[in-house]
Amino acid sequence: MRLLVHNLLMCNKCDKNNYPLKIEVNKSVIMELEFKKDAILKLIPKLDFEVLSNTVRELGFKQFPKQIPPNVDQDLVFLKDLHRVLFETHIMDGQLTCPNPSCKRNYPITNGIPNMILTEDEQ
Amino acid sequence: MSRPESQLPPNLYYNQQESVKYTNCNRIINIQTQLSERAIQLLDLNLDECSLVLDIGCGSGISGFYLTQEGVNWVGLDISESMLNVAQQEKTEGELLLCDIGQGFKFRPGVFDAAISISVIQWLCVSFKKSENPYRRCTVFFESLRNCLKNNGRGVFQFYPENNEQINMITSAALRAGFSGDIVVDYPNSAKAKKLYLVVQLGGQSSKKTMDVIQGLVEESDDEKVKVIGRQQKKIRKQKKQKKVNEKSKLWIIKRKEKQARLGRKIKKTTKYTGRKRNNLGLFK
Repeated sequence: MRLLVHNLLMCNKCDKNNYPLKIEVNKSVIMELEFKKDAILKLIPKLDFEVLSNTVRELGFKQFPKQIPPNVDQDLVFLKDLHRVLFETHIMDGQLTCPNPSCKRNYPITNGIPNMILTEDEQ
Repeated sequence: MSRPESQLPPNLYYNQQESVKYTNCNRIINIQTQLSERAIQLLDLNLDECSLVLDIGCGSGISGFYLTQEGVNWVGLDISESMLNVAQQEKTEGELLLCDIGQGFKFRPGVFDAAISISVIQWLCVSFKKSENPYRRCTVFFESLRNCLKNNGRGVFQFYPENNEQINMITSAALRAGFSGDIVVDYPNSAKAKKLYLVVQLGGQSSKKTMDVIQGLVEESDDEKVKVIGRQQKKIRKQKKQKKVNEKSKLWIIKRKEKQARLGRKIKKTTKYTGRKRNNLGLFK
């Protein structure tokens, strides 16, 4: 799982207070991917940058900016960091937890794939 | 050959063996490739603006591969762990999620520009457990899609309905969720080449109560024509080989006797009198 999908995903059970899911990482891996400037620029409006920034900092990357810098289309350093964080950091093992205190449902991540399937009772 | 949908639920049907076979079989790859290309063509993406597409039932990532080629980021959902593991191995560039679309899925509202699905949504119309209600699953699926698709976002779903009831179940669920659209049929006159695509848009102008079935690709490509002629020639050659035996002839009688012998019946010996022309003497008509 990479942080791009984490920025989009909400808890499958709850309707409110179900975003963002808390990540617990047991194993992560960096896999290099070709940097495509246009693809990343198109994606920036879709991101909840505050959530992304908080998540990245919690996972250890303290230098990640809190806001999108001005003139982002020229700021290659920022774009490369963003690329690394969104596309190259794979969480292979861990779990996602719903932030809703009355839910706290755990979604396990195995082989890099989060399991969002609910049991029969939960539907 | 019975449909996969009548054999096992999809997460069990697409087990490791089937997933590996699916990914290595050239015939399947070719078909899925053609379907993906056609679906992307029907989607008519504005590539300058489109950045996120939802691939429903992404499987081992064949359709996702084409989205990546178009420069589009995608998130794939699939119910089969084995298929997703294959996609992971193939290092697909999309995001992968293990999810049952009939249970619904939740993403931030309006985050996807478009949705695509190849050979998947007919699975919503069959249920393997008492707790699964196909009508409910179709409803929940389209509602989930509506929530995470942007306004005026498009969806193209190629699917294999078993009958008209399944087509109606799916189209009515889409309409109820607020989609407008049509069913596009490619090659409607060819039993083998015929393909159905549900093409929908969120919002849209008309508030039609039903969906129209409109014709897509019609002319047979040269490949199709060659295949048809080939099949006909094969049939003719086969018929020539099986030379027809005249009824009541001696050869026919001998064949009949051999068949009866194989079945274990007692039969008389074949002699020079077998099948000989007899004088009626006016006794038998």
